Amino acid sequence: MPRIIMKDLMKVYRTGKSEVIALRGLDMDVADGELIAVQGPSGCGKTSLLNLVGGIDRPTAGRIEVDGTNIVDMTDPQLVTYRREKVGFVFQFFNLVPTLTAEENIQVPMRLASKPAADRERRTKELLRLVGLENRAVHRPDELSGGEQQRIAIAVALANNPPLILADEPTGELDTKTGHEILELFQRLNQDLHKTAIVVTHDQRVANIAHRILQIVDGKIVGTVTPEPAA
Amino acid sequence: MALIRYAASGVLRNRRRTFSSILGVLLAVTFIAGTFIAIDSSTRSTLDALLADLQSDFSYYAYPTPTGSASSLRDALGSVPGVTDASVYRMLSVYQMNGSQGSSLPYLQAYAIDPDHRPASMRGATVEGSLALPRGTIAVSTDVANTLQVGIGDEVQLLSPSRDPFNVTFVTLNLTVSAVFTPKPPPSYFGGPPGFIVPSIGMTAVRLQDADWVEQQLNVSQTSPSFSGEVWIDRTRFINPYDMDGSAKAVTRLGRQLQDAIYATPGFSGSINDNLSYQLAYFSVLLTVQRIQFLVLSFPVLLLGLYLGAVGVDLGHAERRRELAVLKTRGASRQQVIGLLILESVFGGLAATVVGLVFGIALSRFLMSTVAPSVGTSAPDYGTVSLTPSTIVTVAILSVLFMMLASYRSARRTAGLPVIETLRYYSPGETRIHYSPTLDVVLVGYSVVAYVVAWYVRSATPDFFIFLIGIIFVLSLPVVPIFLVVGVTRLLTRSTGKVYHATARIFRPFAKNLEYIISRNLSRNPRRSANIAIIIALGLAFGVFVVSSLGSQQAYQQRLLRASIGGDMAVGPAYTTNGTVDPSFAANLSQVPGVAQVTHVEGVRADTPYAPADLVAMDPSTYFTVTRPESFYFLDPGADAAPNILATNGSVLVTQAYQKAAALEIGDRVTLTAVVYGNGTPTSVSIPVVVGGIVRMLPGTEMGFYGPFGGAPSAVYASNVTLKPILAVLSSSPGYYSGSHRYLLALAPGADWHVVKQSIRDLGASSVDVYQEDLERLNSNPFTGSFLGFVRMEIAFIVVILTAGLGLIIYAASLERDVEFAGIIARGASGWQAAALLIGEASSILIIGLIIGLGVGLATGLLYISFSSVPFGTGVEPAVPMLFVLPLDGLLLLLLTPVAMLGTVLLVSLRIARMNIARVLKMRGG
Repeated sequence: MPRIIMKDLMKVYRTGKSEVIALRGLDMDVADGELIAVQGPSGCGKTSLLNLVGGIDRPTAGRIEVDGTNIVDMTDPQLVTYRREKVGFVFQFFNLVPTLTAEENIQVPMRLASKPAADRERRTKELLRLVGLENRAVHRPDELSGGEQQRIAIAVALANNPPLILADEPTGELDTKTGHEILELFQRLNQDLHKTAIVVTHDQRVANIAHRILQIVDGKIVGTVTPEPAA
Repeated sequence: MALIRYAASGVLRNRRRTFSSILGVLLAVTFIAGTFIAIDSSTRSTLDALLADLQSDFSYYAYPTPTGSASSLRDALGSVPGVTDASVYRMLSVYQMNGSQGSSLPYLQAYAIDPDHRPASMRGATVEGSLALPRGTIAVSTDVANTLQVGIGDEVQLLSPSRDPFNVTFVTLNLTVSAVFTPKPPPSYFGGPPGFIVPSIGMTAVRLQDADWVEQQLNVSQTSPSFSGEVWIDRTRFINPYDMDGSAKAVTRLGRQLQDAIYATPGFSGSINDNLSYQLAYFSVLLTVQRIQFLVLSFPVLLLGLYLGAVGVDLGHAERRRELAVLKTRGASRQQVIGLLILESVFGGLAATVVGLVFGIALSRFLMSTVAPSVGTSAPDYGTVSLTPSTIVTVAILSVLFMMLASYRSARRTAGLPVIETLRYYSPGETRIHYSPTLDVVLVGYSVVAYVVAWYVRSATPDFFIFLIGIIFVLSLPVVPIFLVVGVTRLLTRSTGKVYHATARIFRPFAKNLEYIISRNLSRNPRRSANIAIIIALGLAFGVFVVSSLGSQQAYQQRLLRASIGGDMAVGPAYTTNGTVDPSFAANLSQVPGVAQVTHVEGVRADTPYAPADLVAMDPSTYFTVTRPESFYFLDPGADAAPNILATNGSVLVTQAYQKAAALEIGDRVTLTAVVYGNGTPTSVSIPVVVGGIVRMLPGTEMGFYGPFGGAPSAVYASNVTLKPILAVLSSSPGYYSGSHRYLLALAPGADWHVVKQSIRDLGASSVDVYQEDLERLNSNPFTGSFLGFVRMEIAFIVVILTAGLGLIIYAASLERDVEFAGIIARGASGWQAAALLIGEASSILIIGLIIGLGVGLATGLLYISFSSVPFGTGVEPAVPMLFVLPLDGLLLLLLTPVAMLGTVLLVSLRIARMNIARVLKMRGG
């Protein structure tokens, strides 16, 4: 049973008298534990898709079922809970709170979920170990490299152990070597932690680690590619 | 030149950023522009108020030959174009006036006037009867009527002594009183130009045409008496408040015409005195002085505007740090970047000038009635808007200067940020601010020392050392509150984050476990939050100081009045014809409807030992119930013991001034002595008394040289019983040994003091002082009203700065953190949870500013009050202390100000709560 089902998804942006149709009746299924890469030219609707699945935005029409629940019908408070408990976002520009340390940034989602302090501490150490940054816990974002910041951002996304990870160009701001490290991390998240992940990317290396590559053009999925496993 | 275009486009490109950068300075120059435009627009009203004190526009002396006719002179002057009226009068030679009851008035001013063209002193008089003054009649002033106990229809007798000094006889002339008039109160100055009648005691008037007849009857004819008079002109014809040079010329030429008119009148020579020209010359100076005064009074608004401007500019530079870093990568030097930012501030200043002048015109309508106090001659003309070149230039200079001042430090700091760091996503320039507390420690230390030294100098015996050290600190006292606010705020907010932990905890219920983000954000980005806290603290400190010191001053003035009058009324007795107090007066006074109780106090002509002091006799059983003196009068022991001390035979109360001068202590025995001379033989009476207590003074007992208005009085208070032997010998001795008498009254509840006052006057009281009447006069002083009105307007404007100004700054500051808030929302916070972070940050700053502002305001208010009330170096408590008062309406205003600011913050936070996080995050692609 697919974990995420999108049916006839439409998203229209209206600014003044002009209209932009970002998604035109998109259909998409994502199985539990699948790592999906989404590719397409600029303006094709990739980011809009991510916004809708993540509960950040609402579709103009269509359904999005996550674990059998149509999130389109959720109220705003229900969407807040959905984002807190079901989704972990990884942004291209990291979006860490600049005045908090690495471990404090990781704790933000857990505090939002009212987790007890002991659980927060334990989980934070666990995540720092996972991303390999135990010795950078008390550093602020301006004291971290780009790759380290992205790894912390991934830890933040995993803070409440969400089943679904959404990533928008996670390697877009990183050099090759660092990007490779992030890729490995994503692979581990998917294979070892069984996270379902949807990754928007231009980076072919990211696409190559995915189970499927969906190609979007003009708001519709025009093709699906199953990459060859790496030798 | 290329930078000029870049700077101009920088200002125009982002109007929101430009507006938030110039807002602080804009508010400050708007206030200045409004004030100056109000001054200029109410010029005519100000001139009218200045000239209202003039009793006449011109006055003159004229010396006639025997052929000179006074009416011809008056007609000649009256016919000069532009003259609306002219008076003519002369003095009569009269020795004395007697009333029909045997009373007499040895000193009087007898005039001969033209009733159709009254002299200045009678023009505003209230007249009972008729001033037609046919032959055989006379008009008398109210005080003359009271002294002689005459009314309309009664006869009075003019007396003139014979010329034989060895056989003095009197020639008399009986006249009938046809009018009783009360002259208009004199202007604020005395001793005007020649011929000016000073309204004073004993004015009488007969018709000018009868002057010679009166003097013939009294056998005192003058050969060629001089005449005096005044001339009034149509001022609007000669005086244009916007052309003072032209006005001065017109008035001078008119004066020459009047002079010529005197000489042109057959049989006259004389001189004209121009009362207007001096006032016109003073008027130009007055306008300039007004501008300077109000500019100085506007200092708090200017300071706050400057600070707010600095915060706004800093925000704008922070938003553009990447752009400026890119400029440097393209080859701009640090100096060029600084120059660019300063140039932008100049353009911003010019923009603030234009907008400030427009808003200033609107604000000037509210300031019209405060900058130009009317003394009842003309109300402000709200339809007149006068925008003078000097106002435009002043506002432009201030605006540009303030913008440059506000921008300089931020420009230097922004231009100095390392390029590579600035281009990174998280710039340490914004998250790590270096701070050195040295300056702030010095500011706070100096402030504390200044207050301590000022407090010590206040009451210490002065010597050269104290003067030398003290004067430096005392002179800097006006700026010490600013040092204290800035220093304490910066120390609390920038040297430690602990204060933010404490304030952030308050918002835990709202921020749902994210309150630590509030304290982290504030403590790791402290410069901006410190500046905002300083603005709040300065505004509130000024407001609290002004409200409390003005309230305390007003309460003090009321207390002084009460100390002077003693009860609801203080009445001088009626006197008999032989100059003694009417024995039935006291009984009659008690019977006046509306009078609840009367007590008598008497200044006794007796000597006190060791130092001079007034001796006051009173009846303790009635004195304290009539005067109900406040407890602060009683130094040792307290108020409860004083009535018993006075009631005890042989026990007295002394003032602290007398106690210190005579080196006395409670329990000391002293002797009061009175010496009277009867038929050349001295009789001495001595009374031993005990010093039972020390007071500042007792209200209503101001008898001698010292009184509450003149400082701490030196007096001894005793009961009539204690002083009975002295009082007996003084009252039985011939000659004038009677001291001064006063009757203090308590009115019955609901009594109309106007009616009671008239009834008491009808009894023949020599004076009636009413506490309520004097209070109303005090509160209706137009210049006091003007000052208070301006200060209240300033406080209201400061509230506008604190709410709207800070709201915009917080809004602008939140814009650059949209992505941060959106990230938090995307990770599971609700919109209001994220907004609560912004509210928490703003409120934390608000709480800190509130506490410091209120604290410094109260402390400076307290110090000012204690300073004002104790004369330097005397060590003596004042007769009436100035107590600290925080009026309820002021307190209300100061509590509502933070509520208004909080409301603004909530409005700004709405944007965060309703944020479209997808749009804000601007995820790549789309």
